[in-house]
Amino acid sequence: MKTAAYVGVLSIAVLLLLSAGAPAYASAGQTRTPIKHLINIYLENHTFDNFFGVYPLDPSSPNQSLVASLSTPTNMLDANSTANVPSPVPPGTFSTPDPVEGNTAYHIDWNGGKMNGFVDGSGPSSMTYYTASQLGPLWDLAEEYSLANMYFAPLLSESAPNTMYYLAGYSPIMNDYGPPPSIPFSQTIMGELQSYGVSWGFFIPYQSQGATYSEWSHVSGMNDRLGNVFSWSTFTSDLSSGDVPSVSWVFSQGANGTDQGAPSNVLKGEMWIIYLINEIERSPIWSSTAITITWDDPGGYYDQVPPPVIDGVQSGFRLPMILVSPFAKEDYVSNTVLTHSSILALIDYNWEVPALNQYVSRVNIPLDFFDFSAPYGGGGVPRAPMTFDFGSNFPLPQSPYFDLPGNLQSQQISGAFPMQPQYSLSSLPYPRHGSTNTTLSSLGPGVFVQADSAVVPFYASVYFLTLLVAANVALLAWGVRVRKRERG
Amino acid sequence: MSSLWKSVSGLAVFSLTGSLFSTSLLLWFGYASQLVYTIGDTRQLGPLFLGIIAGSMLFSLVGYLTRPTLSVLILETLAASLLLAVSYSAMVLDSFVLGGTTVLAVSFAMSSALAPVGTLLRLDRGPYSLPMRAMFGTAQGLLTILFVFLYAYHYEANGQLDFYVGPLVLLALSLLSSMVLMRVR
Repeated sequence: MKTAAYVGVLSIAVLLLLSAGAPAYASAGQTRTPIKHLINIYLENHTFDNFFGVYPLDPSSPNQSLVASLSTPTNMLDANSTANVPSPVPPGTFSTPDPVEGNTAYHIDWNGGKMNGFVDGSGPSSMTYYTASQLGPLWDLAEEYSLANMYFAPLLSESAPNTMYYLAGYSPIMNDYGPPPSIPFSQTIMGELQSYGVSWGFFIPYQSQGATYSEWSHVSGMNDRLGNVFSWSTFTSDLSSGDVPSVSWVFSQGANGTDQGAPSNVLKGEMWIIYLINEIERSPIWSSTAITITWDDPGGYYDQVPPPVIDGVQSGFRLPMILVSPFAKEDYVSNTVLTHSSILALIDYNWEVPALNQYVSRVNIPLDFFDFSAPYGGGGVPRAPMTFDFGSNFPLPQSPYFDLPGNLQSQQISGAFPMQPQYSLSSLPYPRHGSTNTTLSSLGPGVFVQADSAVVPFYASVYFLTLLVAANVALLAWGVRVRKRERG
Repeated sequence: MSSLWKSVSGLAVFSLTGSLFSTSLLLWFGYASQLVYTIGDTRQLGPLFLGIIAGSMLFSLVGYLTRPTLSVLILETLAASLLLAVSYSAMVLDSFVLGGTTVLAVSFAMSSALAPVGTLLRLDRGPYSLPMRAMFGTAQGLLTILFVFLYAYHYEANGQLDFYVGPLVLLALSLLSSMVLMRVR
């Protein structure tokens, strides 16, 4: 009896100690929503208007009544009825020349918000857009799930700085260069998840690319975390077993055109996306998963919407973002102003950890895309998995590694769109347009990184180089003095 | 000392040492001011190199054709500092989004550092004829342009990584060269 009492007292003391030492916010495993897995798929270089500027209009579709009933985002052609109207990429063509990219070109495109400098800035190939003839299957994803109408690149610049905002809500660089500088791992979302015991993983084409992979080259200390880096094939086998990290990033870059960046054929990345979505939907984790699909920067393509200033930072052009989940609203178009760091805010919100930094605390969280409560027509939440299968018109790959079929020009991809909605549009228990201004700061969970910093080794710093300049001047001046003294 | 030897040693003492230091100063300013990071568009390359070519040749000749006195050196240093400050201000005013004309003006202005370099190297050195000084100045300008081109090519070909390596290596070489110069009477 006495022993039992000691054990009881000891257990209570241990429990008290553990609870006192625990982080202020709940850690691994505990989520604010039914989502236990967030998978972020990341591609390259397209604006919203370049991919969805005329969505869902498809004059060649035999099902015009369904097309007419779908939710419509801001239409590019309505806004440009007079001049500077982009041209559609012709059916049977799946790529364009690469527009000029970069901080300078995008600022010329932007023209102080007038959005009329694209021909001068990024060049004539910026004035193009894809249609259902190329993107029917991708449009189907948007139709069946949720599409962001106001998702902006964090900066008016190209890949590297925008990717930093995708991983850290901050960038010490303004263009594609470096490192140095880099961001400490501890100040990234991966660092935050690690410190709270939430599992995470990066999935790239081949594991051997990990040490030099471009997407995290600006993260200092990533080479010590290569244990969290895996290949695409590991991802698909993990899906089969249902053993997937809480937060995953699947990068398309580094696989010979899968990333869709011009002048690559957009069909390859599209087939890859549909392959992944099918794999996730048929996996054991589907019922507790959300997937974000987005593109890193505008790639120099035209977009009509002047980007806003978000928390004092001038954002870049709109990017496409599709949210796929059994909790995603069907045929939903969100007008919430979002950016890459909104995905970080969603992670912090869902796993109940502090906002990564001040910027992340102030961007909107894409919560309006979800419906976690209202049952659908069949009475079920979450939604049942779907299979995207378009027959011989859009042959799906059998693995994430594949070559494009040789007879692309003859593919009738337009016929893939629209798909019959999973639930009758008239029976949906929510409006199919909406927005939210919920931020982490409005919920008050605090901030993980108080002050963002950049890592520059001293030998690479401007201070050290300035010292060397001064030393050289001093040496030459000393030489003059010595010569004078010797001469007497 | 024969005229030929004087020319050859002068080229080594002045032009080579001067161009190493000049190039490292150009790269240092490009790095410190972030000018190099604003160049992301191939259409900026023409104005950038045009400014460097014109500025390097002009300011290098100025450094070798003026009298090598302390007051001239101070004047040239102040003028170069002013031009660098104005260039940096222009970049800030343009929010680091530089059109072709600004890039040309900035790269021309930053080459003004070549003038005090030539004057500093010649302080308290023996007299050289005007054609010889013009030759040293021209050689310093040409070598500077060559080094800048070579490093720009290397930087671009290697994925725009580690820009600091260029000014660091050139400053180290320049320091070595200055030490050797100390031994030359």
